[in-house]
Amino acid sequence: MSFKSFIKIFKTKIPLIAMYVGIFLMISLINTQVGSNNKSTGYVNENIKVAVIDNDNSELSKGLTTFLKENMKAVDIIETEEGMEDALFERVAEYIVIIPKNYENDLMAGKNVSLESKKVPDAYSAVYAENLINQYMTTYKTYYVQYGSEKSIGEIINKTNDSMKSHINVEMKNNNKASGTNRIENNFNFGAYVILACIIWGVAEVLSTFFRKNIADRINVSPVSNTKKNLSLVCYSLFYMIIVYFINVIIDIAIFRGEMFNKINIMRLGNMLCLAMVAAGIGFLISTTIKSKGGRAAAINVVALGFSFISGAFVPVEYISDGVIKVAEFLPVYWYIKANRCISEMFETGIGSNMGELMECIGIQLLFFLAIVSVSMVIRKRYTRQITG
Amino acid sequence: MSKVVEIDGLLKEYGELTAVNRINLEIEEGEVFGLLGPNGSGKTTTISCMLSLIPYDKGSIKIFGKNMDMKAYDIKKDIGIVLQDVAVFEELTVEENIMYFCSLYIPDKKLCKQYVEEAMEFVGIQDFRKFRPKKLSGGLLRRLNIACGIAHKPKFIIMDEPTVAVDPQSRNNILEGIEKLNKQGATILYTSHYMDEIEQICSRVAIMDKGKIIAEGTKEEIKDMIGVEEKIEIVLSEIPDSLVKRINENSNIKECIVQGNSIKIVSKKGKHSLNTIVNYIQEANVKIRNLTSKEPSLNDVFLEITGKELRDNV
Amino acid sequence: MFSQMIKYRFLCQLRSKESIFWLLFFPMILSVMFYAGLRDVTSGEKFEAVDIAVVDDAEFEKEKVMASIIENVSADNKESVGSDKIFVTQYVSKEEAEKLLDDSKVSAYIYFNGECNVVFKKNGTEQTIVKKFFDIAIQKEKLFTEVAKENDGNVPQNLLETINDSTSYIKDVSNKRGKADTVLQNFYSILGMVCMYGAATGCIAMNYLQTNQSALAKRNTVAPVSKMKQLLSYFLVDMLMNDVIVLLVLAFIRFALGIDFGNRTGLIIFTTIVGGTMGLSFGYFFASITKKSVEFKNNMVIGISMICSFLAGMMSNEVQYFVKQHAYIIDRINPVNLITESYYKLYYYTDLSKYYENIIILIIMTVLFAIGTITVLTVQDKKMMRESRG
Repeated sequence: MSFKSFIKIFKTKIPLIAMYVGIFLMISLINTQVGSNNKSTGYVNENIKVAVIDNDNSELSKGLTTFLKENMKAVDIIETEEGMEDALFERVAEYIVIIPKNYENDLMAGKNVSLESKKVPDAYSAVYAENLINQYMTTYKTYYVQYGSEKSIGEIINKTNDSMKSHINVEMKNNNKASGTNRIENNFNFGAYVILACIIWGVAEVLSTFFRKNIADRINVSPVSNTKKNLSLVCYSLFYMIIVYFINVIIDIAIFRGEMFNKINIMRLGNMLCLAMVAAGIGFLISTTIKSKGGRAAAINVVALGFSFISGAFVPVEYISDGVIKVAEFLPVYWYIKANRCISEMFETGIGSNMGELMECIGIQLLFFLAIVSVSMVIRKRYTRQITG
Repeated sequence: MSKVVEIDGLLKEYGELTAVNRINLEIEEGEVFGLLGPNGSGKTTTISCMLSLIPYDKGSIKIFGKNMDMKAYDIKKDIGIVLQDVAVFEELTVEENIMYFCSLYIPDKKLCKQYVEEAMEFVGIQDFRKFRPKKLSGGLLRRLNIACGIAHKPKFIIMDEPTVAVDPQSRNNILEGIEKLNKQGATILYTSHYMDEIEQICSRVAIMDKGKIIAEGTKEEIKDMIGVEEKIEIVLSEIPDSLVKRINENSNIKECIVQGNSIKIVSKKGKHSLNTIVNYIQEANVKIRNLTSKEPSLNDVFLEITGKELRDNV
Repeated sequence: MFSQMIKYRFLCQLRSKESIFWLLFFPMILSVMFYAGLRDVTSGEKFEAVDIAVVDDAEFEKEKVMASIIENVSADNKESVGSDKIFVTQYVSKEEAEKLLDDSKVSAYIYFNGECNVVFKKNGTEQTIVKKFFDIAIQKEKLFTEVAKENDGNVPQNLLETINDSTSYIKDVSNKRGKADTVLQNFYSILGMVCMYGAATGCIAMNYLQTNQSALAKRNTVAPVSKMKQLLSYFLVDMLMNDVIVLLVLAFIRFALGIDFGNRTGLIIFTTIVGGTMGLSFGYFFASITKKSVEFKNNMVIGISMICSFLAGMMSNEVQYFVKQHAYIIDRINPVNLITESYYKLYYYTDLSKYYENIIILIIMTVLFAIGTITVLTVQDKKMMRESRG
């Protein structure tokens, strides 16, 4: 059970481990790229993709169309039923406005007529697009009621457009250094899944060799104390963990470059190290308790994917119900994500402000690591006792 | 007697390594033919080529007088194999495993069932029919492996080191089983690096080393061929010079070495001197403390030919 | 003989606990976790009123219209928030407002100095809500003021009603086939992933069939049964098992978790069968072209399944859209994506031509993989026979 034998076993698994780690790192890279393309880092994307289908061709319809194109991002779509559904499904358009024939005349005649819309379900962008359109129409109608008899439609549309230019003045209290903080935070949140998957899998894969019956029996009769054996295994787990962790760090530095050397972002790396240790512990536990290969693989994926999901690695924690959050609090990933959030807030509130909360999150993760390793050692001791009587 | 196997000039190379070096081999019907040799000598490769499991570079292989290839199903139906590695399904019981493999050869379900019963009884695992392979000991697993290979009553059985890692009792059972199969009419090709097994059950033997057949024939032919002699070792209460002189003067004796209280005597090729030596000792009024007489073995043959022990290469 | 091969292959599969857990229970456990994580994303239960502060000073006193607008949408506390109250508003001094913002007790504070100003500490969804609301409020206020000026300080009743009319000018004519729900895709992608996991079954099967992959394969090769026959028997059983398992997972997601698949039951089942068969077929093909150990092959196909699932948007829908925009060819050949999309199109679309396109691609892929497997095995055998002629 020497370090030498561990290295030998590790070497035989390198192609497999490299493939697995490579796959997850690629997934992480793609996720980061997608995140950087998605401009909605806080404010709802001003460039809401809207398509306008004007069946009226009146001055009002043209005015509305122009207004929407100037205030949102106009896109062209195929104007069939299927084309519209495809556009929404593929997010080519987030909102489609259909101006029916004779709209201007019917509206001004007081008829019960509506613009028609198709939208991406439950998207905030669709809600805001609708608010904007409603406000535009309200403003137009108001001006029409007031000036309809004296001014042309064109003039009323101009007044409407002017009115719609009014915006509230926004001040940001702190010089927002967090440009891109969201991107980094999202990357590290998603990284929880990557770290868990790579490290748990690798540790379980290598250590399971030591736990194969014949080898385990041979080790158990050797004149090495149980404690020493188990500590060796923990050390080997951490050794592997360090390798994968540093690969992740290098990739993060390569993606985010200078931003990573910011004092606050460096704390993220420390947070990730804690989660990596927890992952190594979980790998140790899984290799101890689950003997079959398929069972191990299933457990690893449930832990990595499932835990990440309910702890907010993929879906922001705000969107997860309170009941589920209560359950997630028993998982180390939740505290990792929470620590990540604390670190992000430091960009706005200063480096020392959330330190207490951050330390709490880090401490809980380390406690998880100790607890998991202790449980694993107890299980190993029980196994040894069983076979030795 | 017709020939079951005819191998002519078989050559198999793996890059620069020649695994089988232009060997010729013939196995007669009804024989138990032993293929002896250390690990890496080319036994398994020869068998794999014979069964069209791997391609070969030169030569020809005929089984039952017909050219053997992958699609020779009419030949394959009369062949049974028992490979070195246990080849059974972990998820199926003993009975189900034998039934599955038997059904690949015997289309008739009823006949198949009957053969399976007979196979289980033959190897002695009928009490374990509902067991899964994981629950079987090494010996029982090997017996299952054999049953799967012979259940369909093949005319030609290839057994590649079937007793590896098997306890002595199971090993004896297996060897007795093979002799029974042979008595029932099967031709058997048996490979091993245990010479005592080969000596026990095989009628003809070929010895392989480094891809070549270095000796072939009956056991006696091989021993005679190489001229390996009888060896006698005796421990006496005392060794008078006169006794030593008398032994040395005997024309059947090749060599006589005295070491302390023991004499090592090597007879000339084909000569047996044990009785004569015992008489000399009795006439000299010397007490015999211990006496061993060793017939030349195949290991001796191998040692003689290659200059190394069979076991050295195991 | 063929029936016996089928029978025993079936028994092997049924008794293979690992496969059953891996293919059946793992996706169920995963979908429960997804359900827990995604349940409230679109149910709207999570909407909470935004905490804001308004600087109550002399300038604010002048802003009667804005004050009225703000009051209309404000509640005193979170308990009294209704559907029309989007803010919990405190009226405080400037210093108090600063402090509330610093302590993150409010998301923003508003002050007036002839214009309307909002102060944020950070970006976020709440800040966006505040900005968008006040943009519209300012537009309303400006409109009101202008109209009042034109009417000697009074706003005619009909105009007032027009300005404050909150009736929407828009009618939603979105597809009503289903309650459109972007999180459905996450569940559909689980099914896509399960279909792909069938590839691992294919790898194990080929381990028993490809000569020299295992001792069992050698025994099967030496038997007087053609490899194609053995392959067919294995494939038929594996296909049945795989499809049944995916259908069971589908049933679990549908009935136990209540995830809607729509009412095109026949086509839903058909999609599942096609997807399951495709995954298996891929596994057979992949195993036939690689000479590595079965363990390596298994891990590879699982890894490929994970990538395909990720690119199909299992963890984030954004990834799927990104792939559609920037790597359309991958979108079209990613089996998990094709399966996920097929379920979604069955659920939500009226016109099924795109659905059929996906299914046809899946069927073509299945057939190609099957032909590929047969071709590889045949070529290997021919090569063997050619080389064995010496």
